[in-house]
Amino acid sequence: MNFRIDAVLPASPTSIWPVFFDLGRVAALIPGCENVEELIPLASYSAVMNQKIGPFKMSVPTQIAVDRIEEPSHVTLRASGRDKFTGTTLAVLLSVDLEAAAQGGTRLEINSEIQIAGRLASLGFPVVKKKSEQLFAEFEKRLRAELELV
Amino acid sequence: MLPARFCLHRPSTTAEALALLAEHGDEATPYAGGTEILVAMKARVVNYRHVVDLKRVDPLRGVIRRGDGTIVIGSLSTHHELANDPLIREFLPAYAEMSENIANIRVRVVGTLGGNLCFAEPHADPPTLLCALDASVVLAGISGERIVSMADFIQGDFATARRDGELLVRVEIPPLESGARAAYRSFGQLERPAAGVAAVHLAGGTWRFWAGALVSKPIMLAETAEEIDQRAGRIDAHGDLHGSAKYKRHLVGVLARRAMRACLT
Amino acid sequence: MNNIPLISLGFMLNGQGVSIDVEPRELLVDVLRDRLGLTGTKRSCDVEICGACTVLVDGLPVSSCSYLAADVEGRDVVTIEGLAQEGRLDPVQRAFVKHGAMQCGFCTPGMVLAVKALLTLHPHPSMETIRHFLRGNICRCTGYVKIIEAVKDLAEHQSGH
Repeated sequence: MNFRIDAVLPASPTSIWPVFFDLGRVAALIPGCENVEELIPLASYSAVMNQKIGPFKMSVPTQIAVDRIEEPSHVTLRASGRDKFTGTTLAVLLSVDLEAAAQGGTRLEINSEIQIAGRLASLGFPVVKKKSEQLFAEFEKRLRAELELV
Repeated sequence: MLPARFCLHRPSTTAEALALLAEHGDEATPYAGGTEILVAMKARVVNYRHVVDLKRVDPLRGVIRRGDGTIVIGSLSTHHELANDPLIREFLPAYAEMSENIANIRVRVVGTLGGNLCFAEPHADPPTLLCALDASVVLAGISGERIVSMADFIQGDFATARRDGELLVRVEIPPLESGARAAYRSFGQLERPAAGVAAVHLAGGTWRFWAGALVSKPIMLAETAEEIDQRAGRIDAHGDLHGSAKYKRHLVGVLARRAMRACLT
Repeated sequence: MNNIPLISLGFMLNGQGVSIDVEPRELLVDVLRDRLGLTGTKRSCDVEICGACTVLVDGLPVSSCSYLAADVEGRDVVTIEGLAQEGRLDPVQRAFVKHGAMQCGFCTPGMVLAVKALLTLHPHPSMETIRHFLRGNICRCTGYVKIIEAVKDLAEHQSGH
């Protein structure tokens, strides 16, 4: 599944960058992402992804690694994890690009590739897909609210 | 696979059942026929350490008709029982017909209306017809009972208004006005409906059409026959193994007309 | 999880009383096949769609693959082994033989029991009723024609049931 956020923000890249630099803060904006811990600053983090669709629950201990980071324009994260009970695996690639835009603003582009596999996903992929879309939309909403405060 | 190990509780009263659910929180599930939840437990996509079997709670069974004509269905009634119940056959023949056509005979014998509604698998028949019939569900909790309209009860895929610790105890269907007719038609390949339409024809000549199974919850489709095609064409259906979105929207038009014809003959 | 209380299960099986302790999570198909040695009931799809695991509980067909053994407490269970009486085939079995209504035989126990239940509920079913009732029993070999013929024969010739 692929998701994308495109936004033009009034603040400059150097003002916006700190939001993404604080990777723990970004992870916390993801609905269901809990217990975010910094293991090695700017390199690795851990979290737990908790999701529920009716009776179907999953709790995925997730390792987050920073693939590439270039202040103040780019960061790529990879996250992966597995829920023990349902055997559901999660693999996420998230890349954030900040580019200077007209009048001192910023063009923000976020691309995300999310793969969910395992029994739960194969039995109910349309529902999992819909839930992922909802989660990403909520993430976008929270992120925009956060960026507005800059 | 076998389900993961669990404790089986068999309360004989609603109060006992509610107490067990309160005690074990989200580690417990209510259990009736198990046609949905046991399959999920065997696949290990859900995990419950405590199963609260409701089949010995007698007040949850049976069908009665109140003085005002309301039909009250106990949530532990099986689809087979309802298809053959004399009161349902006399006063809600459309419901008996729908119930007789759910899945296959083994699911109808074991599966309950309460279980069907609470699991809220979207590819289902009862919710659509119950919405068209203006039905309500009664939810019992430790602090008492509350009534929720069918339309508000199913909230989305596998999501209902039932809170943890509540039990769906009854479904109440108000009487159709004199001279009104109802019918339900659905179609599917994989033992579940790809789409279903309920039609109610009121004595004054007006219509109510509800569509379900093709989206996360039943939707009011149209109030006139003329609107059907246009409205059906706009449904944001799920494309899945049961059919593409386009196919399901097409089915809605076909099924609506069949349900209409059934009401008029 | 340790110390889950076993369930002391008592039920009628093919006319005889049975007493057996089961774990809550044990499935009826496994208790019948593996613990009681009645392997006529088959596990096939394991998700209650195909009907190969059909047994009768209080005369009605259920999917034993998706039925807790604990749920037959105090009930009357009939498996395919319970039909023939002292070596004499049941009328449904005789009709299946007469019409050649099986090939590999894997769906047959479930199919025969479903037909048994059908004829109890509807002693003289119409073609439509037969097809509707047997909709949930899948056969990969026969194409169903001979099965339906066998049932039609029974429907026309049996007197009360």
